[in-house]
Amino acid sequence: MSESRRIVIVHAMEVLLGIRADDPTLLFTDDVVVWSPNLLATSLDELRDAATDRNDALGNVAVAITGIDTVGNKAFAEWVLSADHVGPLVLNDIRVEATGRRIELGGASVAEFEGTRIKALRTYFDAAAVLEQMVD
Amino acid sequence: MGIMRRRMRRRVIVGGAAAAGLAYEAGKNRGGQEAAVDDGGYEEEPAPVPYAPPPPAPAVADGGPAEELERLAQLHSQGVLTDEEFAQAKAKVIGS
Repeated sequence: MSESRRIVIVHAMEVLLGIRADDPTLLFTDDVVVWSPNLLATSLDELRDAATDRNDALGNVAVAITGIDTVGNKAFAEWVLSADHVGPLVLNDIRVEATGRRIELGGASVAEFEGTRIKALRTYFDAAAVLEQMVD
Repeated sequence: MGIMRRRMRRRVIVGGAAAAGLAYEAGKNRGGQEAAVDDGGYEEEPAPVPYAPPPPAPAVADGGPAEELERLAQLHSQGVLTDEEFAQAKAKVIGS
């Protein structure tokens, strides 16, 4: 288990969620590819733009890593995110206005490293489960 | 909410259609094989190829503790790790 990679993936997730304000150039390569059900960025610049465009749909965000392991240049993390739904959120092309509800979401991320920085990050979660918590 | 239900239903239908398409293709192929056997009379079936699982992907070496400490030092000097985080991480690597 690589401690350095565990730390970088945790920091990277927190930066993407707006919990941490680290300089992304220290965590991601210039040509990083970041994918999730509601995000695709194929460079660090695009990732920065996506972070700038974030519409603050979620507030009081907390993420807990429930399991993490590394193999070679890859790190695999399982996590649980909880947040308040305080702004319009678009998932699967569906826009849901703020409900004020506390939502919880489980997911997993795979990070590929180049040196100490992430060159690819793929995040998987069940978007429908999030929507269900908002509309039920 | 109505929109979501409609979309979800559509996805299920699309998924079902895709599955049905695969089943049709499989059936078509199977039918074709049977026809070939009927036309040609007895044909010796080729011996089944024993299943061999693919070899595991080679893991790129993580490097030893020295390399890990070097990475941690780099993260520390870049400011990704605080002094406290660096000390904790270093202790974990040295203790492992």
